[in-house]
Amino acid sequence: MSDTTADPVTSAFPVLYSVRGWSEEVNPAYITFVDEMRATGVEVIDIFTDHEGCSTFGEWAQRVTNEILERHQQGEPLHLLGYCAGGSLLTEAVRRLETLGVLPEYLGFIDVRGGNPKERLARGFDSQFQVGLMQRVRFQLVRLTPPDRESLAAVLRSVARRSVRSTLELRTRGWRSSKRHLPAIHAQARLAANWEFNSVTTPAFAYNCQIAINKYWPGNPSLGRAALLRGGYIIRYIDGTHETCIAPEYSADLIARIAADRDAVARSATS
Amino acid sequence: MIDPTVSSPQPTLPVLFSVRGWSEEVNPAYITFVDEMRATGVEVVDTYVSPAGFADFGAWAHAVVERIDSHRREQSPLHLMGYCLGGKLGVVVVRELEDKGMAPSYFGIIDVYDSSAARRLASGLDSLYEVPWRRRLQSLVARMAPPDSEEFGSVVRSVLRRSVRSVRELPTRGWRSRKRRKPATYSELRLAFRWGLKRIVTPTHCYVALEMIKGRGEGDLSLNMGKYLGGGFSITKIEGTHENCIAPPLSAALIERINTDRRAVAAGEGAFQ
Repeated sequence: MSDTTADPVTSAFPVLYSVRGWSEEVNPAYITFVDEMRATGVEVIDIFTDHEGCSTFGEWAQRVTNEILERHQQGEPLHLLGYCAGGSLLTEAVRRLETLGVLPEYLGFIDVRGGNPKERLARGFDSQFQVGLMQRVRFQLVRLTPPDRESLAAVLRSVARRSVRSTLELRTRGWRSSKRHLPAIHAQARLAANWEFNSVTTPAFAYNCQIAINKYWPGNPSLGRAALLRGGYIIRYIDGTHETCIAPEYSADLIARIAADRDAVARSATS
Repeated sequence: MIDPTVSSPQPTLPVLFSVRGWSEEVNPAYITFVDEMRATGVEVVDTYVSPAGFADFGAWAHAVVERIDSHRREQSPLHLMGYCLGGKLGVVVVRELEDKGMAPSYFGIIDVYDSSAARRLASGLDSLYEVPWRRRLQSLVARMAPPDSEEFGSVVRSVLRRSVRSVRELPTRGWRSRKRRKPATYSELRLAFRWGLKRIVTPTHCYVALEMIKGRGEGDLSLNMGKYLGGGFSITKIEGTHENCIAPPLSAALIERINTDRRAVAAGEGAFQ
């Protein structure tokens, strides 16, 4: 179990704030990963704020922002890390920090992917997470825009195909089938699915699994986040799947890579 | 005039192919910049193909790829660089090289920007360069889609405002006013504006002039190029304006920075490695 009050381990690095989106019950592997990082002598503060009571993803991210500001000592370099939903939360939190003039020195995202509009439609996520109609339209509009520029006909065909499928499945599944709801993650995923992310200008490191790229964003190693990371981002291709990349046998390499990048950032800041 | 066959003594780096978009007459400063690079002991092949006769930006870029192929040494890593329009052409070149499995190991773009959709509309650039309606619509739609998510009403208002202005100016300017065309740069810009850039996956080093970030950046340090750079990109802020960042005295720091990045790539220690 991750203890946020644990005494800091002596380290050459600044404190690393790790933003977590999932509870320990949902994703114990990330807790173990953080502990594994600590075992290398790195001081990690686990930032986990409850989503309960938040009506938007922005409110949830504001809680994360407040928590970071509360714990972070002014004048100290700010190092931030997020994995999966924690990375999405971190993206929004960093935007808020930037607005306040708090600029992270190191920003790392482990296998954080943007919502692929094609996937949203094909898998019925917008319906499942009750995304507003105008927002659904905006998400699909992305497909028409540079650099992908799908034809309007192709987008309309995919919408029509999905609509026919939904109608055919109506009898067996019902309207917004609750069978598809995973209670442990539904509320959090719903907040994220309804949110339109804005861009950040802090340079970032994206530790992306090749398997995730091939599966969710073929031909787009940024995992659909290039338009969000306007301050630049460096992709580190990591081994394993979205789930196993943070677990032993792959985690050791990832932790070493993160440490090397943080070291490089710290050196360039002082030089 | 640059002689592409001239090589510098004992190069310690692979040959650098510099893709140039403007002729010597239009932009002599870049020619001087390349010569200044060579003076640091770096071998640079100035790759310039005249845009005359090409139907589109892609065909022009293809001719550049052929020129690079004809000068390239087998087995040697490919280092590529471009400034301004040459950088944009470079992105199309890299895309073609990626498709051929010959992606460069270093790709640098100096102060390359993609005009935002709002600016294209407000300045009437799409009309000036005869951009097809489909592309214009795509630009407008992009404003409404995330991450910008501009309101539909605001986009429509800007279109109406521009339309009213165009109609008012019609008696004095005429339809697609030729007065606004600069003969020396028109055909190149027309090719560039009409082309839809595609995503590349080669990591890119962006050298961006501070003055451009303030003037054209609109909160986007990549100068609107980031969405095309799917393999990641680093931003190095450089001193000066778009024009003088490649001229002395500011050019020396830029050249040193590029050489440092290339050396790091060659040694396997670059930011992306």
